[in-house]
Amino acid sequence: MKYGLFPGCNMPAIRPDVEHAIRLTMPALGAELVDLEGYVCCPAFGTFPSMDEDAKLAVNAWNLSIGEEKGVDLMVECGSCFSSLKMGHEHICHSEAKMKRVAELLEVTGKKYEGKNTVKHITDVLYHDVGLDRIRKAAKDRYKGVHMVVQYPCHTLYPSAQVGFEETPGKPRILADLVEALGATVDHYGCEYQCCGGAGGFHRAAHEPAMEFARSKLDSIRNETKAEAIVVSCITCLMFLDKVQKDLNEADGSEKYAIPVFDYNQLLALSMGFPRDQVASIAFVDRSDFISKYTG
Amino acid sequence: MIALGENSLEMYKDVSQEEDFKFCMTCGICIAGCPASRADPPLLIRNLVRKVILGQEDDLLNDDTPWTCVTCSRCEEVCPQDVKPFEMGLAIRQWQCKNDETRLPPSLVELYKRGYTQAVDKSQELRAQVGMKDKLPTITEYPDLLEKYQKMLMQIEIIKANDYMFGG
Amino acid sequence: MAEMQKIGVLYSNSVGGRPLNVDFKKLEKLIAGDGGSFAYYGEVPDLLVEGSEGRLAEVMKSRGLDGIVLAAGSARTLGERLPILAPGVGREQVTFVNILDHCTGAHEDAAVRERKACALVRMGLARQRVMSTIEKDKLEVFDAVAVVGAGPAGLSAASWLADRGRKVVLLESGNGLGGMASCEKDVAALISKVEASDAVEVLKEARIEEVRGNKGSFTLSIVKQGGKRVEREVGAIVVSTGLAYPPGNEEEPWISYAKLDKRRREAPGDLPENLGFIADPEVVGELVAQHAITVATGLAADHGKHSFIFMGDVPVRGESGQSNYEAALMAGVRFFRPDARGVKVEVKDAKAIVKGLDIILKQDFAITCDLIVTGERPRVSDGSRQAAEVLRLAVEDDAFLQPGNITYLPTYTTRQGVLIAGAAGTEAPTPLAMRGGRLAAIEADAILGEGTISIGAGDVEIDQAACAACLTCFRICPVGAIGVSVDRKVPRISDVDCRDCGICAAACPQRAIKNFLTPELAILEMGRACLKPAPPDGPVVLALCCARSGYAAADAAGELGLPIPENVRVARVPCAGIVSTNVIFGLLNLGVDRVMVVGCPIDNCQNKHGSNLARRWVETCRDLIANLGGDANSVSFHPIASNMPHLFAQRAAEAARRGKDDSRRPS
Repeated sequence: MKYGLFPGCNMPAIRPDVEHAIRLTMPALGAELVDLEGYVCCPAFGTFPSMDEDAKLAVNAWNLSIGEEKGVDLMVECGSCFSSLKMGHEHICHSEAKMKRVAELLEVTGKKYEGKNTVKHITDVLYHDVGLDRIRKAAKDRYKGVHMVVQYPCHTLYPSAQVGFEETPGKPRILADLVEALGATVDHYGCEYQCCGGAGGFHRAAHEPAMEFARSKLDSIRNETKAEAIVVSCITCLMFLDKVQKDLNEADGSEKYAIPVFDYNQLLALSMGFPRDQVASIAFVDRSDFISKYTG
Repeated sequence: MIALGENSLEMYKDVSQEEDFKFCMTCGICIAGCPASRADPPLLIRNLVRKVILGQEDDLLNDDTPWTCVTCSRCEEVCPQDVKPFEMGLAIRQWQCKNDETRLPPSLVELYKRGYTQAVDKSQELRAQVGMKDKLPTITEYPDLLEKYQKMLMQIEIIKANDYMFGG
Repeated sequence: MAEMQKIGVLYSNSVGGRPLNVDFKKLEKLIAGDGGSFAYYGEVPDLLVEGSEGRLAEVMKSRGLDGIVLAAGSARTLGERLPILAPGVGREQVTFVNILDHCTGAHEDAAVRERKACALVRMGLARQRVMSTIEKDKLEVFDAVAVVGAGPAGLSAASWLADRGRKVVLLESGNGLGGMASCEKDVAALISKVEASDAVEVLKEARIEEVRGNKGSFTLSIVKQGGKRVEREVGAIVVSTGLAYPPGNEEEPWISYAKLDKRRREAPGDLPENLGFIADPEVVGELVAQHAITVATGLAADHGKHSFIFMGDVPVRGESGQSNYEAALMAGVRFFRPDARGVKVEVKDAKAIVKGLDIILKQDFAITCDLIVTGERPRVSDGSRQAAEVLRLAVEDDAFLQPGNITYLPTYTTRQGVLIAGAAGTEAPTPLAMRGGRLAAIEADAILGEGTISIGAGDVEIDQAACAACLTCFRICPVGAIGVSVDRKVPRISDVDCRDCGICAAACPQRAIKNFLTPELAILEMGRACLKPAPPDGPVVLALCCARSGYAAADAAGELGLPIPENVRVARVPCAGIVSTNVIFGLLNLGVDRVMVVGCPIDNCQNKHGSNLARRWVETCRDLIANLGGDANSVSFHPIASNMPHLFAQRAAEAARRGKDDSRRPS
């Protein structure tokens, strides 16, 4: 198992503790990671994909070609990076015209992309390639009996025909299964499959409705579950669900919303004994009690 | 007021070369459950597709709602007619950019100049704090690659046409 | 005479299912031991199913059999479909006996089951022996089919028949083929095919003036273009006349579908760019709405026109609705869904501006159209009315047939040899109409068969000396089997069409119609056969059930496992109306203890007057028996519809008990 780690930009720039958690846990579980020299933004949907289709596909191909040259698939944590790259890959590989156009654009760079590798989300790698058994062994049931909820990254679910890797896209379960492999109990709630609302232009263009949208999700978690943590596997979900709790508390003048948010690999890293200051040190909602309680 | 101008019925061809969106039967399932449908004004992707089909050019040019999409692509999954509403939303943004350069997102310039929207290259200190001493092999570490990357992008018509923005 | 006939007893898995808990070997011995004789006894798999059409004829030929008793499950409509499922086997050659429902379903005791099965098969043999002795006439059948109406249904019938090598006379009242669907691709292809075919004679601006003869040998007087009269001889008639569209506002910018179609055919280039179709299915009906969609699609896809459709709910139900809608969207047809107020049209400089509120965008729209195409809800066309009158078919309010006879499977009319297809039955979208045409053609083809029809000869006759030519029989015959001779003085009964229901005989004030021998004799023979093997206790009750109602109810009772006493023996008759006083007394004389006559509900008789007649006959018998001091309850009449198995079971149980307590009267 060898993958090209595509970190994107939010993770290395704003939440490098997540990146470190990934870099520590994945090789320990047998998934070797290599860097992708000269990689650029996926590109994010608000950038080239909103301006020009060819530019978007060319940039997708630029990133993919770095992995192809090394003979590895790209492994991505960020949902929108995954979706941009995976949909780009599908478009390029399923249309001769697009493949040709991409080749034309890449020509000046001396790179080429032939569609020999693909893109995988980190939960896909963990579930299908690493396997639950290996995770169970490594995690040692540190979170036994701890109630948690999951937030699926929409970008890994829809459109399932192009990006999906769940057996039942309408009712995903991979992330919940992964969390249960850590020994935790996953509680289910009404808004489980609802988008976090953090990506794209929604919370910038309509801050209040976006906050209310997130509130409906957090209330659903608070009222319907005994969750002590929200587990995500997308940097946008992580940053937004963390930050929005602080914003909501400030707006309300209360301390109501205080559910720690973790990236899956952060929980994994903590249970495997990696130092908390390296793998889970950046957050708005205080996570120290949770971490001390369960992983010392 | 919906009225049809001279080229209204041909306008859709400028927006998308794909044929899928023509099959929209305006059922609205794309809107039900869309996070941005709660924004004000709401993002109503079905209505945007209908405006394309009816060639409501002025209306569509001034419409900001395509940019509030959260990109979750849920609509793409649930559409019974395989209209690909999410991709239509992107196509409408592209069409707006082509007809009005003020629509071009400022982040494009960052992407062109340093490969990223976030300043990955300036985050070394934070990264070191969490124990990662090695520099991330971003494109800014490879000036020759950056130059090639920019050359590649400059082949794109809309970037060339607005090269003043990109400092080209 | 009876010994001459070779009758076989067959059982098969495919006729309503093979009765599993009947030991057929044992049954064979039982039947033979009770004096039943048969020439062959055995199992033949997959009889009377699609794909094994020749099998029954083959078995009969190889064993030299004159008739067959099929001892299996419920026959349902197999009898009627026999010409298709077993070509070459006459309907008089097969007797169906339902032992699956009446024995295995209704009785748990194996001995009872076998006794009853034995009795039923013996009754079947008795009937079949009579039926097989009927002298047969072979009638020549004219090798041509008349198709009346050249819309999608008629065209597809004509084309199918031509492919089968049949001659077709295709009559169209208008001057163009295709009806209102002529611009649709599939229909246009049929038009050119039919016009180029040597087998199809196309008569435009033609109508039938008179029809003589019967199934197999109709003679049509046709008035064609320019008032000329011609005669054509055909074996079957497919009626595929269309619907009529009331003339609407034809003043431009308004235009009707017919006029638009004419302009499209003559000079498509001259049609203007922008065409609006106002066709809300709520207002104009689904057929016109569907039609608007297909016409708009054709004009957009083939002629590059801009088509706008204004309708509330798009009719996407049914087989073709969704695909037509998608074809329209693909062709670039723009749909506008106005709110409940609908649209308003303003005419300005010879152009129409259609205004309304778009309920999707919640914005007013104002769409300028060069022409506004409109149509109204269709009505029964004059052609359909006229055809119904000439052919003497039952007319309903909306479309001109029974509501059940639409475009799906049954294409029968009340008159044999006349089949209905497409919009002649009801509003039908094009693909359905075409399918209906094809199905009618298949049946017409079966009627023509190998060129002959065999019939029983000389059964029913009218005593011309007694006949007063009042023509009551002509008016009352439910199957149109009675015609009037050319001088319009004397009624004649067709041997082909007559179904032996006996209604004319009962209605004739002169009692001039005689010799309904065949069914009478068959029923009496069944009565004789039903006595053995005798039930251990109780009277023998013979239930004579109308094939359409009572017998179906009896089948269903068995299927539901309702208890029907062993001593009730169920026999099928074509119509309860044939169970005359003669028959009833004949049965009682033979030793049958009780006779139950089971017919349709009085006001819903398939033969219109049959049930009423049966009731009157039963009442006459009861009065006579009572006057003679007998037990009036030994004869009873029960109107039981096919969906009343519980009532049937209840009445059967009562009849079986009665006699032990003579004071009870039937309810």
